[in-house]
Amino acid sequence: MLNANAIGKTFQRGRHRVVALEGIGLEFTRGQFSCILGPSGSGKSTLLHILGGFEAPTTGEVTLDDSPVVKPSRRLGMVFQQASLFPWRNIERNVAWPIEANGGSRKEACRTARELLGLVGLNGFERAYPAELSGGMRQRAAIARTLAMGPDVLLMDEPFGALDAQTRELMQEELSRIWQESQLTVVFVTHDISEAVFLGDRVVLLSARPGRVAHDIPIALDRPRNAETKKSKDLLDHHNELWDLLRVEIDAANAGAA
Amino acid sequence: MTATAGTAPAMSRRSWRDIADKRPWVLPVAVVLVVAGAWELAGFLGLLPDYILRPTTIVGDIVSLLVDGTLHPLVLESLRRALLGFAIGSAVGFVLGLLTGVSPWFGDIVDGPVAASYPIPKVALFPAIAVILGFDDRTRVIVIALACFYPVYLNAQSGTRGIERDFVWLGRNNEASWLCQFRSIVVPAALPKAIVGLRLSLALSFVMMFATEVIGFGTGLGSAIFRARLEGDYHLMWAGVVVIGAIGFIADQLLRVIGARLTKGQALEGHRG
Repeated sequence: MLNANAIGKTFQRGRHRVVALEGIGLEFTRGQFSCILGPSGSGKSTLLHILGGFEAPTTGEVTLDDSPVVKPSRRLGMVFQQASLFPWRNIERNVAWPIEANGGSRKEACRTARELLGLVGLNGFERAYPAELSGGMRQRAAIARTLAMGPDVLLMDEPFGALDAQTRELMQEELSRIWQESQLTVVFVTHDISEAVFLGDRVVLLSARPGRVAHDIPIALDRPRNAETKKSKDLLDHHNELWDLLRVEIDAANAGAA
Repeated sequence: MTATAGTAPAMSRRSWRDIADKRPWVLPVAVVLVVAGAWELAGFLGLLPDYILRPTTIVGDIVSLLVDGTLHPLVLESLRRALLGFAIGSAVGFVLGLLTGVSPWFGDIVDGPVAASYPIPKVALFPAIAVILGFDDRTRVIVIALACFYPVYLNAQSGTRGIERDFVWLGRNNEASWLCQFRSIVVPAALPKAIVGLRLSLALSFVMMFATEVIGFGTGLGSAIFRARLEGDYHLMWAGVVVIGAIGFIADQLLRVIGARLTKGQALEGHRG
């Protein structure tokens, strides 16, 4: 279980102190899909970086199964907004890299990589270079590469944010299917309300800066979720409810800026 | 020439473009052949002074000098020097360039001396090193290596500057060892730029080879060319010049092809829309 205990983060911007996060307390239970939603500048990505051990919180601490997270680890696998595949390796060897880096043999790594590429629907593209794939396919490969680390938790930083609208819809359905099969704990940062509702068991809404947990809303849509789920009235109701709550935060952010 | 291009029919321009895209070597080869042809013709018509030989004569000379065994000991001797110096200088430059690129404090230590010594013409060091070691092969190789160090060092270092943050974080996320990150992220990421440096150094190694063979008690192809000029043996002189040029060209193409293979994925990245 991943825990954020009273996380706070302040940045020094020249002479100004900017409070990005304040008193964030969250519990991510095993196998749960949590989405973190918030207006831009609410510190969503910063929170994710802190959860992954990439940045240190100013106050509070992150624990994974009761031991503190002080640096990145293979148990907390990160998926970046850009696929960030190594352009010099083909897709199979990109996905194999985490296993090789962990001391696995190249043969074993490539076998696992091929299995994972099958899972994310990239059969037949093993020999292709990243530059030869579309944005959606690159992001699939990036997810497979993170799965190759064998993590307990998947931290996803707006992974579909750079994709076009149609590809994004399909990738959400794909991710839902992959998560269903793997039963990983997922923390998914997004600014897209529909995406958050469709994917999440819960949606954590952050307030405008300083980012605090404004709402923590369970999403009780049936699983498995698919294209039909997206048309359901329940999803629309959740979407509208969250939009109203988010609007309050955006207004607050704008008032603060003015 | 270019002024007439605008009046050429669009169709023929298109087909020229097609040839240039599919067989990029056609145009350079054609230009070389045209120049050589003009040179040959001028020689045939008696328009050239007697110290400029015709291309066919030079090729004939090279063949006969190879047959009588004059040329290849000179070539091998010079080539050994150039490539040994290149290998030592560029290997040190490559490793130091990457290390100073990824480690700020190490960069601070090494960058100063490198920047200070960079503008010194390395040939000028030849007599200085010769005072210690004598005008022998070791001195020549050291001077060639020194010259080859800088382009590779500077380019490899600049190649490390552009490494994406995500790649660094990926290494941390995977708890990869320092050596693993260096080998599988830093080296390949910096390689395209380092190869630019390697090609510069390779060309420099030939320049320095020639220079160090001419100065002092000359040996090898460089000194043979110089002596041939003094003795009025223009056949050996031209043969030497063309052979140096040809070997340099082949070596550069070899390096280019190997480099292109190693950085294939990155080259594709550049073509992405």
